[in-house]
Amino acid sequence: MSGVGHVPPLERPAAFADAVGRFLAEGVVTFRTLAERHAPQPRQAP
Amino acid sequence: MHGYLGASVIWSEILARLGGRYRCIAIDARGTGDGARPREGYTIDRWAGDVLAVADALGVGRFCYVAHSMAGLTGYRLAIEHPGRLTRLILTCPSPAGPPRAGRAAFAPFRAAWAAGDAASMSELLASTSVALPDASVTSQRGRLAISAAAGHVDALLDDSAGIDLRPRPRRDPHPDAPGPGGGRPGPDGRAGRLLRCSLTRRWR
Repeated sequence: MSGVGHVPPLERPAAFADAVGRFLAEGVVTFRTLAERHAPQPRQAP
Repeated sequence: MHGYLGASVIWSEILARLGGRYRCIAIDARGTGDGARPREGYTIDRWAGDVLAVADALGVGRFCYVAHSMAGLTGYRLAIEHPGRLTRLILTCPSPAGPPRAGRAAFAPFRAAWAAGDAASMSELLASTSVALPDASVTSQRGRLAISAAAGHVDALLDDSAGIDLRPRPRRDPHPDAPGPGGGRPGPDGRAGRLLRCSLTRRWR
């Protein structure tokens, strides 16, 4: 949540609630899992 | 759990969004908001004990602890000493596990506004920590609540938090004469503190 000060629950409640919900649903989210999630998908052979 | 000079009100919009899916409990720490204002007990350890007491009173065995700012220290304590009570630990902008932290000097303007009962100045100070706030009513509400905080929360809790150091220490082979675990003598900062740090290191490694 970039552009957020010291009180994210107040400043970006929707984004914060979404982050909490995802964390609760998906478990621990680390840089590694984020990187894997956003890694380019292998191309299908033509 | 809200942080220093906060109150449960900071979670109101979060509760509105998550309340339909989860059982959410927002607590006013002792000496803040609608919470009791006892004369003593303004320490991070006691704060953690209060969280567990509320959970016990509500029949909640294990829970996800979501905290902001100084209440993050309470979260560290809960994770170290009562890991069986937690399902998750979600800390936003938590206080560091050890020094250096913003100390009394950094909070001097807040303490001055509190001492003067100046809710308007307190609101401005609190707002200055944020990039954007939803509306002025919430900001002014936070200012009024902060002004109403007990002296123990404003001073004693700040002093207690400044002395906490839960940072993991690098492992070294203990010398037989070295203080602490592995040695015969208690360390200068006490054996309990060393054990806490070792516990933190093991648990989160």
